[in-house]
Amino acid sequence: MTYLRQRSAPGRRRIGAAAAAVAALVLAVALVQWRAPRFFPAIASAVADPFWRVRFAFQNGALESPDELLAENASLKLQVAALDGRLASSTAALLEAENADLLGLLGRATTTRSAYTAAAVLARPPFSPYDRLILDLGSDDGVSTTTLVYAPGGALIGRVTGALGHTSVATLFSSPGQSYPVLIGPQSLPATAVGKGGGHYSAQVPHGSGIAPGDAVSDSSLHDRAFGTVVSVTTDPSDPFDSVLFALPADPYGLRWVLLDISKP
Amino acid sequence: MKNDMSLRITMDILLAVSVIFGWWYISIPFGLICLWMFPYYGEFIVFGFLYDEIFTMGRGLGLWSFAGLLVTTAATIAFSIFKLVVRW
Repeated sequence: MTYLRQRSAPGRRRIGAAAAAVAALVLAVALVQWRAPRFFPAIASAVADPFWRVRFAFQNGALESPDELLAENASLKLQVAALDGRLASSTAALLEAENADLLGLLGRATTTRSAYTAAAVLARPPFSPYDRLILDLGSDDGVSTTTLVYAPGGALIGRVTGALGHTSVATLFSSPGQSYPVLIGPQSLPATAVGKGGGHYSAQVPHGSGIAPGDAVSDSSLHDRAFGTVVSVTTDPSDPFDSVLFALPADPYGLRWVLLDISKP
Repeated sequence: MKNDMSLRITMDILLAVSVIFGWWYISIPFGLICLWMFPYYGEFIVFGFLYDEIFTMGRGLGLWSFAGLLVTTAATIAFSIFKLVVRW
């Protein structure tokens, strides 16, 4: 006796139903992403946040005894006092004061109050991709997508590109595709720093401009903040421009804290 | 069957932790092993999506913002075809 195969049709139907369900799911996710772009990041960050904070606590001595922490605190206070003393008498401090005086004389004294707030780096390169930092402050703390990010020491390194309630994402200017106007070398040549990833930038300057490795790069603001240091200059006689490669003054892979400029008028 | 499911859940937890901490160099090999071991391992695509949402908030870097999703989807499709050919 011959029987017809009856399993192929239901099997095909099942595959069709599964494909339709997957397509509907993808469509729903795309729709939510389009209409409410913060929905999924908020959920993902809420899940990840406790893990990051626990790791950060462990990395920063949560398991050390109170005596050890008190001793470390006292030692750090001594170091801060010593550095304060050295800074007050340094050329940089004198130049900073002179710069502020000159800006005041020219009527360009800052009208905004910079409020630097320290933010903990919960995740950072190379653990996070794309030269981005996950910070432990968010929109509830006054962080917005206009907030600038500085390394300890005052070097401008990036900008907040996404802020949720208690966390935010900062994109370093060295991230691929990012650009920022800068001034290079002792002659303050204007150029555009283009992010290359890994804490490095490139810029084009006119051929024979005298830029050399070790020259300072500053942001193009009146405050002349540090932005990087020239690592190498590539010259091609047939090219009217030289390629300048420069790096962040701070190591982005070692950052544990950054400063956020939450300026208020 | 029960052991397979336990193993799959264990691997899912390990993958989730590596994604949360951004250890992509652990997530990708683990994910590829899971794709080979388990049938219809769609979790890998979900983890790729989660990775992008955590670290880029899904924006700002053009196509790079979806690098995790694209890599995991491509790997899942490639492994599905590879498994079909090898295990025929």
